[in-house]
Amino acid sequence: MTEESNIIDQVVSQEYQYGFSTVIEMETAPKGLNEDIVRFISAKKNEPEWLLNYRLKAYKHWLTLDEPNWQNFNYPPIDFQNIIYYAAPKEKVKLNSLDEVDPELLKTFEKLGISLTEQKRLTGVAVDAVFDSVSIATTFKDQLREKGVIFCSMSEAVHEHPELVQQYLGSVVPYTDNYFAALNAAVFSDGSFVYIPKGVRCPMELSTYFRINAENTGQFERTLIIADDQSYVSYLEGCTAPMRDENQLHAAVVELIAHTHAEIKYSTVQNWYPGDKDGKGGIYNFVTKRGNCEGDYAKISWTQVETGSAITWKYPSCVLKGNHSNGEFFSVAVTNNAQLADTGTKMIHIGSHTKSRIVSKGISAGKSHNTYRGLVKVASKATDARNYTQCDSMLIGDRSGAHTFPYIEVSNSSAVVEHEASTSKIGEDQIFYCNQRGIGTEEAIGLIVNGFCKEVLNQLPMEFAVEAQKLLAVSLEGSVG
Amino acid sequence: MSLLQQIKEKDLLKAPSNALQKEAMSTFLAKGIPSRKHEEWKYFSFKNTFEQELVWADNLNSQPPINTQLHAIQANRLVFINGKLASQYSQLLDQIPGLIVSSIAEASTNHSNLLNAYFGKLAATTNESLNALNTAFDPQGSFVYVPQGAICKHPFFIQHITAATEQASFSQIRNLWVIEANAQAHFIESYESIGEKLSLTNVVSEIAVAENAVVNAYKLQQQQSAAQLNHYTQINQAAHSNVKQITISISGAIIRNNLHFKLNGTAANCVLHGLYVTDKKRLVDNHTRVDHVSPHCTSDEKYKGILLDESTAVFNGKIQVHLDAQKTAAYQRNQNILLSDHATIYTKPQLEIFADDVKCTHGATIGRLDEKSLFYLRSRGIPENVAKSMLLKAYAKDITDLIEEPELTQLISQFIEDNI
Repeated sequence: MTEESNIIDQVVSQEYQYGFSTVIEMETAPKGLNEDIVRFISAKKNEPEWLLNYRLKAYKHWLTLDEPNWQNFNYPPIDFQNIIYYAAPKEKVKLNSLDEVDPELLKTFEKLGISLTEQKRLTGVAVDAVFDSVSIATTFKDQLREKGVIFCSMSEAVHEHPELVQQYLGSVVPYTDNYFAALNAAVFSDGSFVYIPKGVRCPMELSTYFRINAENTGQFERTLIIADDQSYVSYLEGCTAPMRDENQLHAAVVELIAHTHAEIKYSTVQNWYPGDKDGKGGIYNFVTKRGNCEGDYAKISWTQVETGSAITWKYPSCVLKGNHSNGEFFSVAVTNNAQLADTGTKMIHIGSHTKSRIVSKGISAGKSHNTYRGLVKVASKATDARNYTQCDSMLIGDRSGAHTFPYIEVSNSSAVVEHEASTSKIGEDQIFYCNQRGIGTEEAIGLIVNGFCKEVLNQLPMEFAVEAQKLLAVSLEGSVG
Repeated sequence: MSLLQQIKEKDLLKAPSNALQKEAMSTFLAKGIPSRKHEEWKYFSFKNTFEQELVWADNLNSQPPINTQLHAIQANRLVFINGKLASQYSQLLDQIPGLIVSSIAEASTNHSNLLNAYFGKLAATTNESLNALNTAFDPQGSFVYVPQGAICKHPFFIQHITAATEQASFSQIRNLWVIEANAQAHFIESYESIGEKLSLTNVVSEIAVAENAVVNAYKLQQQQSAAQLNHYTQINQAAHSNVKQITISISGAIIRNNLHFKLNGTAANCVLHGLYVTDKKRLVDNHTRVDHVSPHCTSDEKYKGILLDESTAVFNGKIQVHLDAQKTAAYQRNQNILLSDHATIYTKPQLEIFADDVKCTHGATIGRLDEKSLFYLRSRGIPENVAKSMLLKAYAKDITDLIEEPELTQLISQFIEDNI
């Protein structure tokens, strides 16, 4: 028992290692939200008329909405007038190469293990780094351009590829979708834009790194990925934020479009600041992510490792419109201390012979609560649709909770839908078995948890699988006795 | 006049009511009929029915001929027509000292202390406005009190008939059964309707099961094509008690079941199984909830559905394991067979777990009849419809086998054979 409490103490006292903040000259918008702020953001980004109008429409729609309250957790009401909607490091001229980026900023990313200059050159991953509201730098742009791949920040895309942005922005997640999507559409700051042309297999992993730095700011980025016919792309995002006592809002929107025979693999390693052990501070991660399988045989695969944020509330979804299209969702959500996670997916089968697979693993420790909420919907015309869902929860400590809300709606008799779920804790017998064979309790837990999550971790690109495994180890190290 | 208006008027007319009724009425008026915006009523609402001109069944005085098929079962029988006890059909076989079998109206005069100790104490009214509506008016229905240690040889057969032969009608039924420590009792409930007119029956059942008691309850819902039924059941179990509840929904326009178990004592076990067959444009909605409040309890839930034509079925199973309910074992399954491309199933097997040392599994499947099995039978010269019926009967057997009343099992098998 004493050993157990020692170990728990140790985990609870584990500090968030990305909790520093960078002192850098910032340019921010005044606090609060009104039409002028929306215009201010748009003007700052020198946006064309149509985009400003889109933002204003979204803002007006947002005003008519009420904050949703169906989620399985409570949070103090967000004061939307107390948030800074735009914060950017001051910069005078447009940057042409990394050498011109403020060294202070580069140091920040260096500290986060995201070296924009050296490290990634070796691993061959193209990185777009977003610091508060703006994209700082995108690496490997030229090499990608040779293949015809467009990988740049959203603000750049608006100017350089307006026809693509105008065609696809809001086509998957319209601003009328939900409260936070409307807010994002009104004030979105930056994000990544990816376009893979017909028949191209993107030669390297694409990655975006998000960092909230400034105080009292909200981060509202928008990511748009379009994979044209027969193309393939693998994309990864990572996130961190400094330790602050107030809660900060992160309300992003991610839209994916996969055309005929295209495949998009989207992986997230989310490690926003989770708040301290009493639940003070931390990020509210309220994100809308959705992918459309527009063409036949298209495939979208979501993989997420969620270890951070005070509250995570998101459901990466797939709309399977094309016949024979395929959607996948792999998730590991780890909550500790007072964290809350309400996450899952939606698989909407519209085309015939569509397939989807959901594997969700939730681990809750401390006083945290972990909820899986998912929807599998088979429309009446979706003949021969197939879904398999597995969601397992593991409980560590007797004050944690695990909840499952799977919605299954089927209107076609040829559909085969399966849902399986289990909840358990690490068995004493399992630990005993390992102990007997000379494996220490600590290691045994690592073994069991890793085995529990393996199915999901295997989906991550190599380098990130290692990062995710480390994250898991940090979040859970010894929290069971 | 719409039913909703009638309810409001009737409330004003009636004699000064007791505190329970007054509070229930104000809850009902405040909450109203739950709309589809309510998470628990996501897929349909009784709102439209309450807008119809239904006549309160109190005002109907018909004594129509009833279905006596199940009277073949040797049982302590209570028959209610529109909530009123029809004594000519009723009988009591078990003569046990202390056993009370009567209508609630009778119990409220003869056994008021006993009745008041339980009545309205089990079924929640605060968040359930239709329960509140039921509680707001004078109760009609069955009262069964099984004293300590009594072992009832014959089942209690309770038949509720809603008559809507000439006019669309509305009735409310209340059941209160108390099974004391170490007692054993079996119940068969049948909900039926007569007549082709629209009817709505709003039922609340409260069942209190004391230590070591054993209860088997079978619920059969077979109504006419325009009949709607809302049935809320709350079962509270004390330590080491065993309850088996089987719900068979085979006909009626709309059936909504709320079956709630509360496992208050340690090592209480409950089994809740169900079978629903829907055809035409009918709807069956099963909402179940098992509250594991105490440690070492088990719950075993399995609901199976067969959906035809343009029908809809809803299953929402919720298992809530409370903070200190360690060593809970909860098992939940929902299986559905869709026989038509226009039928729709909404299923939501839900777990909420607040204790760590538990084993909980839940699952749901949706599919159609296995083509290989069908082919196997067809290749042996069995016609398609017979082969299908064989497979469906085998599929339903899981549930019907648990019914320890051969007449009832026979009736259900016959129904499947006739209708599919």
